[in-house]
Amino acid sequence: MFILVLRNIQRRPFHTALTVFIVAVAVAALFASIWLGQGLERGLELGAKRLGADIVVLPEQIEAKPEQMLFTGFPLNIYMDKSLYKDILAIPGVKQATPQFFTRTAGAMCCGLVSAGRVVGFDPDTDFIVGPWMKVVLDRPLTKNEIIVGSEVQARAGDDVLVRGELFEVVERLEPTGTGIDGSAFILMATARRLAAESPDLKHLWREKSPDKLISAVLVQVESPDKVSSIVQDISKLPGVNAVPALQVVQETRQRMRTVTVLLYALTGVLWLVSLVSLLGRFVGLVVERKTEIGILRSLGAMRWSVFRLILLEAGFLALVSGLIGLVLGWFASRYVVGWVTAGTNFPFLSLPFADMSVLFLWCLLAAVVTVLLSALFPAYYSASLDPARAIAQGELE
Amino acid sequence: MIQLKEVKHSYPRPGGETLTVLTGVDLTLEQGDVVSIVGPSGGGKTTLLNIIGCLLKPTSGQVVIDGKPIQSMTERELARLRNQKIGFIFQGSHLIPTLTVLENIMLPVWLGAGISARSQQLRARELARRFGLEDRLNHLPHELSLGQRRRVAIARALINRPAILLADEPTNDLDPPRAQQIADILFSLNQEGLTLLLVTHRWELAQQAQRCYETKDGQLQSVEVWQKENIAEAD
Repeated sequence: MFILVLRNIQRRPFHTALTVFIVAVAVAALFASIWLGQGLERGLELGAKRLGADIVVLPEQIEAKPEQMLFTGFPLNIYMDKSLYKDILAIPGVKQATPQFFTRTAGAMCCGLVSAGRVVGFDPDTDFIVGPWMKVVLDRPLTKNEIIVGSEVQARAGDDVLVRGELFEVVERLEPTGTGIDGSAFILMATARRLAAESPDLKHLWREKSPDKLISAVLVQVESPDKVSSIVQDISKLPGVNAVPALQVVQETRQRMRTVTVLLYALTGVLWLVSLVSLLGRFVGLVVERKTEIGILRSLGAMRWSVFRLILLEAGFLALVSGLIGLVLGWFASRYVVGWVTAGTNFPFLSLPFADMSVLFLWCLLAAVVTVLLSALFPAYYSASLDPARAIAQGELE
Repeated sequence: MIQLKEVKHSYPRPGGETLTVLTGVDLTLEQGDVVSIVGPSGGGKTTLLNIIGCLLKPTSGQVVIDGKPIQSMTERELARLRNQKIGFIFQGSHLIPTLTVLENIMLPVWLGAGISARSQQLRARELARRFGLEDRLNHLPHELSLGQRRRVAIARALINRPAILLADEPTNDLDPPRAQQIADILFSLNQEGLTLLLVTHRWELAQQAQRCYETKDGQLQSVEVWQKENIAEAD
């Protein structure tokens, strides 16, 4: 029986190609939308959880949206006076705060560290941000020639990397967060300042103040979440700063992201429905076209059940092949879509782990098989219910 | 072997009307018989063939095959009967367009259960050779001539060694030499013990049968009787 299925698929290339196309596009859309939706959700969840700060304070001159500051590698080489750190710490309701000093790598770095753009100098004495991101927390302070890298940086623990002409040993690689942190590298703030001061291409930045007197950001944790708004207002009163309430930004981002994902799911649902209807049309057409053939099969000894099974087997096999093609298409398409969406919206994206991805693959494949079988069910039943003589006669007329 | 008693058949028509094509057919076929049925188009020849071939159930009357009425058979039994006992040659051959010559011949084997396909493939090749199709085994139906298609249909009908061969207009659309070639094949099969029931409008083919009937007013009349009546009417 399976040979009949194979021959029908193989020797009706136009029909096969059209069915495969419809199913593959639907599966690709389903896979891409779920992957994108879940990846964005995960990115935001993890990004927010790992951020660790309730308020992020940045220099006022930065012209960027709050979510851009939080979830991308932004900003770079923009500074404020380090005295602001103490002013912020002194504001009532601030539980703890830690300064950071950003600089960037000059072009590509050697020895495997190629994709890090931002180098973050952190203060190990006050830090409450970098530590929790580590897979294994160092049981000793970071030394001046050690570096911690984000998950997207192509270096492993133990590798030596060159940053602004100086060798560093990678001691830790952070877990993925779906934010700009993944492409960043972390060193001691004093080292970051020294590297920045010695860089010929950054010298113009230090005409007014030495890097030792500057910081790029202050990350603040408050005593009570209720006080975030009032503390943001208090910080904003300080000269030359821009305070961003992280939780609020996360919530606003989540709202906007939900709109995007709901729209995405709705579009995929409509596409899926259109596919179901067009597949139904295709299978009905195919069955009408093959009425004589069905009558012949019955007259040669095929039972009703065999005809029913034949149509469903053909549909199921096509669904499986198309589903796999759709998944491959969806995988590649998603990568472009993810890049496009995250670049356009600053939404953090974190890909699904292997196990979840495998489950998603299987679900999409199952959805394809079930949808195609559903659309082939009525045509298969109709074919099976035809009397052989009538099928042959009607087939000849049609 | 096959017995038809008072078989009637009507087709439903729109508006609740019916079109009666068989009004009471009696026919007996024994092993090795060659029977032909002639008659005008729409006279019920193909309907009768379909009823004998278990493709259609009669409106009333009885069809008994090997002592068992087909009305009492299950769908599985009928399918098995069509697969194992009856060979069909349809008007217009009706090969499966997506299968090659060899695959078309093998089709009844694949549809039947419990048969060794490998030994049957040897038989399929042997049949193809017998009917001059050995160099067309991997061709698709649209690559064959009408005569070749008809021979493939005959080979397909014979693959499961049926006891009876039902042929609906087997020489239709063929030129006289090709038609005679097909007739020779069919009668040679009868020589080997196969029961043959031919439906045709070609008198030269019909008269080669042991018995010949014409469908008239929904019934079968022996051709000799009909001829006598015609002669009497003419007188």
